[in-house]
Amino acid sequence: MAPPAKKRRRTRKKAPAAAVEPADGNGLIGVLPNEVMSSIISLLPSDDGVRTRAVSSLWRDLWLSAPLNLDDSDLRPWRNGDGLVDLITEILSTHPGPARRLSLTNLARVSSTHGDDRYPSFDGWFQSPVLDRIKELHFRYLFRYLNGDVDPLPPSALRFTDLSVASYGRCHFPENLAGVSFPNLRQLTLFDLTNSEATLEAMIQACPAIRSLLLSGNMGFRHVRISSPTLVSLGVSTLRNEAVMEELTIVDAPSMERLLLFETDGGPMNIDVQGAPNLQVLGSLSSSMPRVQLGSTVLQKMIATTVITPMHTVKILALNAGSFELNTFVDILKCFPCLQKLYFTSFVITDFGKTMLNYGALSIPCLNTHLKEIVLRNFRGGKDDIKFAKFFVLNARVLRLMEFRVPIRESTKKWEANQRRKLPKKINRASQALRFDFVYDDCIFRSFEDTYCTHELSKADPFDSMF
Amino acid sequence: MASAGSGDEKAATVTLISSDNEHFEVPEAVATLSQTIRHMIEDGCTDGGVPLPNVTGRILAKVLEYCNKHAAASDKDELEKFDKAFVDIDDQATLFDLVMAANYLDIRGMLDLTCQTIADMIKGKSVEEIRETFNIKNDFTPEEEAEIRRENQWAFDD
Repeated sequence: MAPPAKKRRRTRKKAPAAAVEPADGNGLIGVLPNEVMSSIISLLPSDDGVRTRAVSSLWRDLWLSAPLNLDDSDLRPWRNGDGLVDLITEILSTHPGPARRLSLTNLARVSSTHGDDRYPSFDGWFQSPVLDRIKELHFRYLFRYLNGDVDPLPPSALRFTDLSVASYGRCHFPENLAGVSFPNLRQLTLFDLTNSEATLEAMIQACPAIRSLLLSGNMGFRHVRISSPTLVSLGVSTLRNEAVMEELTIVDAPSMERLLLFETDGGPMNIDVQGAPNLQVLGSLSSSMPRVQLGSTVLQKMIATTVITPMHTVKILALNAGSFELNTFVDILKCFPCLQKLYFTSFVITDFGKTMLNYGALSIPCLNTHLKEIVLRNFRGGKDDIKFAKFFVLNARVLRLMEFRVPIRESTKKWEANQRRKLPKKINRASQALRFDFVYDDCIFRSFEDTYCTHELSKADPFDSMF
Repeated sequence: MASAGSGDEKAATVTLISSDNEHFEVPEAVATLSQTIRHMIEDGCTDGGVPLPNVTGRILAKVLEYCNKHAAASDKDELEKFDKAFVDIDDQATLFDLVMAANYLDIRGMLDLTCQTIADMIKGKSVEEIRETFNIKNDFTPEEEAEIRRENQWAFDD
């Protein structure tokens, strides 16, 4: 009955008594141990956190002992920039530390009132010992001058080896990144940098444990090559109407499960996926992409110019085209015999007078065994739309759900009933009943925009929450 | 009683004993969401049950509700919904009991969840409102309080 005579015992915190309203005026919350209260205070925005000091003498010093979360958005952003600079300097010099999180996103590099360059202030802050062990850092200059000047990032912003989550934007990284090391960084966002892709490659090298990487609007990243043993999710987004990444090559990414391309409508982009043997989610690919290479399969504007060597791991695919035109996508669908879910977005620009392929003659492997769900975005009920939908209804043997996202201001029951009438009803199918869902929004469904999904690794389908 | 051996049909369990002597037999896979209990199992100190003298049966039952759900479910949305409902508690005493239990038993997810809940109760409130919410007596002299407000004036500009 007695526990075995093992003397080794891990030291445990002394368990406090169960919460009973005490008579000492500190409330029930006063019985929480200091380390718990510190954690709670540390979760508060900076202004709330500081205000707690005035609650009672018990609370007065909690803020100082709680790991600092310094977020300039919490420091009354309507305060003019110079006041904010002084305040940050003051907090960093009076707080004993350690800090766990720093977010500086509300300051321009140059003061609009005095014309002072704030670079020395930023540099000074980043060098503060209070910040030595931060786990999370978000930094961007408030805006970037478009006159060709660069806004340098202080090298001291890259010294934090405990970082787990970081984002850097609207600045120019130092060209020499030798010695930069982020052994614990899992989640990295780089946006609107003015550097070339050499900086990107050096940063990936500096992050041996990286899991998700989001690249957004980096105009200098033109020919990007990605190699990382740990990267699971890569998101790429370009700013509308600006020059886009010309070439994206996944050289060697054995852990990559998601390759998410947002907002690539700005222009051509060539994709080459060589080393992603575990890729599960891919998209959006566009019919305007001049060249997409998947392993040894080469597609030019989505037409295969080589023998198709399938990728069996891909389960979710997103495609964009000018219209619901299956011709364009037969080949790419043949590349993914195990595809389970397909998002298809039609950006109707012109009404093509196309030659209708005899849809009946197509043979696409994933339709026989795997494709369960299709989402048709910008479905309008036109002749081609219906023909496209009908093809899948008749040929996707395990299809369970077809969702129509309709950009019509007012849906009428009559319109929907009309559509449903046009779709085939009784079909011999292997699986259970096929369901049609109609979803309405009064504006056109655009490219997937929620780039933050790149970092949400627990979502099996990142497109699911993006409308 | 912790059982060993890979050939067992029944999964290994451990018995947890609350302060008011309620016994809970729990699969090890669930109980080890608590790092405290995990260490005890590793140290082999769990024969005859693990006494938890600072957690009542009522609270322990709730803790195990959390552990059961989080050990089993993998759907993030489902867990989010569960967590939200779990901390939707009118009674502060229960909430603080749960925080302390999570701290003592070292259940990371539950500690984060309950701490965030309490932080949310503080966020956006004035000093007076915080005192009222938690029934805290202001034990500063007027001078002391004025000094704190002055030192950190930027946070008190309302």
